[in-house]
Amino acid sequence: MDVLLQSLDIFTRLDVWFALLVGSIGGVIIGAIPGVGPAVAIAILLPATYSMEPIVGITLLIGIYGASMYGGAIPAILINTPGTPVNALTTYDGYSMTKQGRARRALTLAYWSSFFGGIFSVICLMLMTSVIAQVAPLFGSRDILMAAILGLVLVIISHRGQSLIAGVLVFLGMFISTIGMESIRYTKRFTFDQSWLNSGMDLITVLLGLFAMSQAFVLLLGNDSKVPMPDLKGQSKREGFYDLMKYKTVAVISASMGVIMGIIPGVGEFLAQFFSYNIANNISKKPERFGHGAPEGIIASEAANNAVPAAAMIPLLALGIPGEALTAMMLSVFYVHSIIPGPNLFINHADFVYGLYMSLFVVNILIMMFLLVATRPLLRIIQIPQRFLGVAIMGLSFVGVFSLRNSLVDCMLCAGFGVFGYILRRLKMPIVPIILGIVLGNIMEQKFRAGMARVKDFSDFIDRPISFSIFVIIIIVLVVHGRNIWRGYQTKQATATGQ
Amino acid sequence: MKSTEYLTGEKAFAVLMVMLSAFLLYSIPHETQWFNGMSLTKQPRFWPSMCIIGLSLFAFGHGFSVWLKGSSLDKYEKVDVSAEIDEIKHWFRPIEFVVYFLTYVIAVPWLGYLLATLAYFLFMTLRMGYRKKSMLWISAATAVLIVLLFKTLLQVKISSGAWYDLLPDSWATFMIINF
Repeated sequence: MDVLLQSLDIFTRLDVWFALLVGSIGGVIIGAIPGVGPAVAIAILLPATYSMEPIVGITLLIGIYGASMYGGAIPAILINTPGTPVNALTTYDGYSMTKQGRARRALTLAYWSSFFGGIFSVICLMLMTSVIAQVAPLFGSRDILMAAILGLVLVIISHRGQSLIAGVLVFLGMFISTIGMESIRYTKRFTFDQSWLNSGMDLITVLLGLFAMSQAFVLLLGNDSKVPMPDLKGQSKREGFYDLMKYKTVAVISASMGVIMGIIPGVGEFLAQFFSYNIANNISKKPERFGHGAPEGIIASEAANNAVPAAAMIPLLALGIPGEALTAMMLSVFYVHSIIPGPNLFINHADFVYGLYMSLFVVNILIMMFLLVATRPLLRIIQIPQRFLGVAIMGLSFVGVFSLRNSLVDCMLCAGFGVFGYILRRLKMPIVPIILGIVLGNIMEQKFRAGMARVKDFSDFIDRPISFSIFVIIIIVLVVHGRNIWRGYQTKQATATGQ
Repeated sequence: MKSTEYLTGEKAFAVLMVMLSAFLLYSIPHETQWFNGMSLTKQPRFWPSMCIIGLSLFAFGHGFSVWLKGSSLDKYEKVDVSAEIDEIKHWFRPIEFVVYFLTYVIAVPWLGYLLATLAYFLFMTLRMGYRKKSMLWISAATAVLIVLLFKTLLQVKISSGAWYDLLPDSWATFMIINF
C-alpha cells in the first residue's frame, strides 16, 4: 500500500502531467496522420527523452504508443486509410459505416472501444502485478534466454506467408547486434578495420533509418492525394457508446485477447485483432454484416488493439524482453537511466512500476477527453500533404540521430538503413523483425554467456522447470506451424489438381 | 501480412541477401578471433557465427521460395527482366534525398541549427513542387517550431554554428544555448 501511495506522488509533478498531456494529445495527432505512426514518432523522440527523468520519458513514450491507435482509427473510418498499420481492420466496418452516413457513430464507437480496451488491460496489469512480482524473480538466465528464443520464433512465424524473409531479417538484426567490440575478451567483431564500427551500431541510428527515413522516402517519392472528408454535422455522439454497451461480450473478449497477445513476446496487435475479429464474427447473430458496417467489427479490432500496449509492458518489465518494436525502443530509455527491466525491477523500483501503471490509466482518460472535443480539428490534420510530411519526417530524423553523438557517420548509417527500409517497404516486407533481432539478439548473447557458466552441455539449458516449459511451448508452436504449412501446401495441390 | 504472389524485385532482393550471407560466412575467420584452448561456446566467434549461419539458412530458403514463386507463374506472367531492372533502379531513387539530408547534416555545424533547418525546409518544400506563398510560410514556421522545441526547450545536444563565434559574447552565448 505504501508503494502504491508513493507512486501517486508522481502526479504531483508538473513535468509528469506535461509528459502525459504531450504524449496523449501528440500520440492522437501522430496516429491520425496516415504515414507517420508511433514507431516513427518514438524513434525521433527517443534521444530527447534520455535527458528526462525515466518516469517522465517513459510516460511520454507510452502516451504516444497508446494514443496513436486511438488516432489511427479516425482516417481508417473516414477515408479508408488506417492511420497506423494496426488500424487496418477498422477500415472494413468503419469505412462501410461512413459510406452509410454513420461516420460519427463509427468514430465514437471506435473511441469507446479503444478506451475500454485500454482501461481493461491496465486493470489486468494492476491485478497481475503481485503474481508478476512473485513469478519474475524465478526467471534465471536460461529461462530468459528461452523466453527470448520463443519471442524470436513467434516473430518469425507470425509473419504468415513471409516467415522466411522474417527469419532472414531477424538473423540480420541479431548479426548487427554483434558488430563491434565484445565485452568479454574485448576483441573486435566484423568491424572491417573501421574505427567507427568499434562501438557497434547504435539501435537508435538503425531504428530511425528503418522506420523514419524509409517512411520519409516513401512519402517524398509518392503523390499528394486529396481525399474528400465526410460531414459529421448533425450526427449523434452517443450512439457509439450505446453500441459498446450492446455488444459488451465482444468488447470483453476482444480486450482479453489483446491482453493475452500483448503478454506473448513477438505477437502483438495484429494477431490480437485478427483473433478477436474472427471470434466476434463467429459469435455474432448477424455475421453477414461483418465487413459491411458491423459495430462488433469495430469493437473487436479497436478494443483488442488498445489492450496490447499495457499488456506488452509485462514481458518488458518482468523479464526485460520487448515483444515488439515500440517496447524495444522503450527498453533503451530504461538502460540509459540504469533501470534494468527484469525480475529485480519489482523489488528495487516498485514505485516506478506502479507509477507507470497509473500513468497508463491517466493517459487513456486524457485521450478520451481530448477526442470527444477535438475530432473536428483533427480532420484538418489528416489532410496534411504527404510529401510535405516526408520533408518534416526527414528533418526530424536529423534531430534524433545527430543528437546522439553529433556524428556525420551516424547520419550516413541512418540514411543507409533508410534506403534499405525503403526497399523493404516497396517489396512489402516487414521491418520489425530486424529491430527485434537486434534487441533480442543482444539479450540472448548476454544470457547465453551467463547461462553457460552453470551448464555442462546444451541439455542443461532446459533442465529448469520454466526453461523446459518454454522449450516445450517452442516445440509445440513449431509443430503447429509446420502442420499449417503442410495443410496449406496440400490444399494448394488439391486446388491445382482440381483445375 | 500474407504475401504469396510474386512482387517485382523479389528475386533481386533474394540474390542480394544470399550474396550478403555468403560474404559474411566467408568473413567469419577474418573478422572474429579464435582462442586456442577456450571452449567453443565461449569463443568470441561463436555468437556471430550462429547469427550468420541462421541468416544464411533463411536467405537460401527465401531465395529458393522466391525462385519457386517466380517459376510457378504462367508464361504470360513470367518474371520480366526489364521490370526487375526498373525496380532496382527505383531502389536508388531515395539517393537524391540522402544527398540533401547529408548536405543538411554538414551545414548544421557551419550555419547553426536554426538557419540550416530553415534552409533545408524551404529548399525541400520548393523541390517537392510547392510554390504557394502560404506553403512556404508553413514550411518556415515548421522549421522554427522544430528548432524551438528540440533545441530551445528540450536542449537536445546539437552543435552550434561556426559563425556564432563572430557575434558579440552575449549574443554568441544566447545563440549557442538556444539555436
